[in-house]
Amino acid sequence: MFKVTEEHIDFIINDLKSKGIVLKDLQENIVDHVCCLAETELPDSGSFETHYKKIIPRFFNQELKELQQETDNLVNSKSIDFLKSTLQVSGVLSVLLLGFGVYYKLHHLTGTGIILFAGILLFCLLFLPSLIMLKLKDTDAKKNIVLVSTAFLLTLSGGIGCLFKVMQWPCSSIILRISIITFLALFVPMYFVIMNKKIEQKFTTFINIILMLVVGILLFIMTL
Amino acid sequence: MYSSELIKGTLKTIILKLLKEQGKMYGYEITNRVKELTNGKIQITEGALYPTLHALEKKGELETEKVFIGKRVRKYYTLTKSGKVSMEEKVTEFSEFMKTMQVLLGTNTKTGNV
Repeated sequence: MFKVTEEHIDFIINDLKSKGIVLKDLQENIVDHVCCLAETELPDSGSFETHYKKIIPRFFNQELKELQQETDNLVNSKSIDFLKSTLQVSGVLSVLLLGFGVYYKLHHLTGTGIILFAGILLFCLLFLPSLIMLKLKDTDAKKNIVLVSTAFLLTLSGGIGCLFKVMQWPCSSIILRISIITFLALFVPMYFVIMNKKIEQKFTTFINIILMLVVGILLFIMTL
Repeated sequence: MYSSELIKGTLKTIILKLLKEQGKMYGYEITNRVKELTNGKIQITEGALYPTLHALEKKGELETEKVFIGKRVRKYYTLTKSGKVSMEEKVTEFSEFMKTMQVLLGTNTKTGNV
């Protein structure tokens, strides 16, 4: 029977870490499994490294990191479901409250302020945080964490600016202007640099940037 | 060998049932035992096994015991109380499902108990 040494174990652990297996429990499982396979399949004088290269593809379809992702997805599936439900409920409620708020405002009914306040608060304090937490569990979004975080902060500050404006609190225009300027001067260029790298999305990126610039400029004009 | 699509939906049931019968097992042992019991018709892939074991552990249906073999750590899995309940439910549900499928596919032959 082939004897697995401590050097072999270190070799496996280093390889797993370099390929994105970060969960210690998962590393331990894979190490033991690979060792068992080597001990049963390898002849006494066999090369461990060569056999390891043959064994390890059994753990994934395209890349080893899938195993970590699949584990994360299954382990976090309950919290993802909860976040999705929170996102849906808070999103629908925010839209309903804001819609009613606009209707009340148009008809000069009492309670406009409270309804709009509740709608914006719900959007900023429940919908947006749930969205960012959900995004951070998504592998693709994780790669663009700076972009996602900036979008979150800008939407939050924009929402707060709108709340101040609706409630006729002071500094609303300053908050809104800072948000819009940051959006135009920081977020849009950042979006361009990150998204323009993807050749297949170049046209979509271009259209999105034009839309963002036009909407940003129009919103800025309204704050003047 | 059955397709991985067919096996995927039954993996938790297989693992829980096996652990009920065997007491405690580690990952490699589970894959080998399933292969042995099914004459190789069902082969649990390592890529599907470990995420499922971790999910079941997180859910509280399995508990683990670590045994050190030199520098290497072997994790033995055993069923918890809620794991036993879940196993019973899953086995019953799957048996019902198989009966329904047999009716649906017209393969419901009276062969008696096996």
